[in-house]
Amino acid sequence: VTGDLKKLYSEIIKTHQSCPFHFEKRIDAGVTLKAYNPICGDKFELYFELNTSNEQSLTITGFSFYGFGCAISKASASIMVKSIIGKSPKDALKLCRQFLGFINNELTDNDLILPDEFIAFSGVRDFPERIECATLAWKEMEKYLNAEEKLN
Amino acid sequence: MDSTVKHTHILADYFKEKIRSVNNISMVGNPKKSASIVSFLVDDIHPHDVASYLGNSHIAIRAGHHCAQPLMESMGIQSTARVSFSIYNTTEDVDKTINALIELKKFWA
Repeated sequence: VTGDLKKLYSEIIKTHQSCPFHFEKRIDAGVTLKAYNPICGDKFELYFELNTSNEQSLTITGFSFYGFGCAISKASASIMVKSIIGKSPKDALKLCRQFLGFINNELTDNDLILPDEFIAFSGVRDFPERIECATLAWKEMEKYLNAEEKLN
Repeated sequence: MDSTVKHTHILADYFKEKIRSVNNISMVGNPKKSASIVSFLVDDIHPHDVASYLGNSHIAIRAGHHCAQPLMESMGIQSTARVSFSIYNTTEDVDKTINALIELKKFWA
């Protein structure tokens, strides 16, 4: 096994794929998003609520996900749920843009202070065919939050 | 053309014979008449992860739906790994692939 492969499947990714965060199917979620890649067959559902907190601001709560996908897409969705739960839609959108920008090599030096769980995906950038896997759930979340931002 | 077909079928049959002896790997479909293509699943390891691992060993395979979503849905599977053989492949390539699949399982253990 070469270093490239070990970097692709970092320990953080392997941990999240074997023990995903809030990996639970829900039928009563306020919001259900479907992240599906018809080319490879990876399919996840994302479940959460948009709750109003004491400050009358929206917060993403009760976030879980369920579905089928490769180690990269599953770990990525798991880390997204863990990163975003409890955040406001505005902060969640910022995280989505940060993660996607990192994977796509679009960040500036000022953006480079990233959580370890984002940096764990740096190996994906050397495997262009796996970028879709790493970004599947994040792109769906970003699309939803972009639309939400336009409404408010 | 006949010799090409014969060569690739010999390799596919050799692969099928070898892969039966590897635990936790199952072939998908077993038609009486087939091309020199074999779809398979490795328990608990997604086909894309199988393909990336083999690719790292310079073995190029396909993984995913293979444009056969309705068929896969009817079979209750989401995707498969798939090897195909050509005139430039040899039995050594098959052996190398089988060994890489055995190593793959150690990597994910």
